[in-house]
Amino acid sequence: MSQKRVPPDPTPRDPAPMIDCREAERRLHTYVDRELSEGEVAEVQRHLEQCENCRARFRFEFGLRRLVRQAVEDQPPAPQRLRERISRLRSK
Amino acid sequence: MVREWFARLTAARRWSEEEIARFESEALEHLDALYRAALRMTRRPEDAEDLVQETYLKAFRFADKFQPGTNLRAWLFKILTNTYLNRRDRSSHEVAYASLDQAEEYFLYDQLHRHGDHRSASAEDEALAQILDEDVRRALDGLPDQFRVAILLGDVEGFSYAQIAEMTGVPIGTVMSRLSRGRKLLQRQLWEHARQAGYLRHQEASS
Repeated sequence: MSQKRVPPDPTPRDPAPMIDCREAERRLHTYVDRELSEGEVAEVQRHLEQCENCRARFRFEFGLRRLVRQAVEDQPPAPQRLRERISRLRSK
Repeated sequence: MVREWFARLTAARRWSEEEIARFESEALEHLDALYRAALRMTRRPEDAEDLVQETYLKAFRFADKFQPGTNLRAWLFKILTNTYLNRRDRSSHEVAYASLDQAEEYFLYDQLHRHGDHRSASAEDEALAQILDEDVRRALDGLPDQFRVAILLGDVEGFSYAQIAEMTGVPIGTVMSRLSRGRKLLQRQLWEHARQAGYLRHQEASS
């Protein structure tokens, strides 16, 4: 596969403005929930790149979400008799 | 009964036989996910089965309300959630946990950090890894309904704030508040479980 070389963007873009730890914490949930705008995400990411404390806490939050999701997903599937009961609804 | 509902749909020429068959089989693809959510809503397998069966009965009954091509999973979860919440005492008002609003977002992390082994860079993540599914389910079960439902829809099923708001019939701000409070409460419960279960191996040495 031939790789196309993308020329560098000649116009330097302003880096996302810096937000502080307090603001990062305020955006924790909306960031993890993917409910922030692109610009807000960039600001959080820029902060996380430079702040080890917040980075560890955000990573932990992702881990916590994964844990909750797993705890529900690791439950047994619907019993066969329920599947059959629902399939039988159709012929009622 | 269901056959009659479907017959009405075809008679009105709104749905073809194939469309009905497709709707039915696509709806059944979500059975396991609906059942697992129902298990954590009702906390009892028998009740979860009843809830899911009622959900499908309503889905078939109101199939004409579903717009083909839109999100069937979201539609089914909406029916499941409403059926569950309607079964309970509707008069139960918004749970007030004023103290939670003041609680720090990083509660569990900070607790684990304080009691953890600081020689390890990610002691908190390691402590998290020791928490069992069972502990999490027990902690979830201890949450008030509104919080638990929000967490199941948001954190487990990955629905957006707007979708959850639509499903539960409350403003987006209320969804965010329920998620935030629910998560804080969940962290407190997990912390209690972790402490009682002795997951914090270094607790004695460091405290």
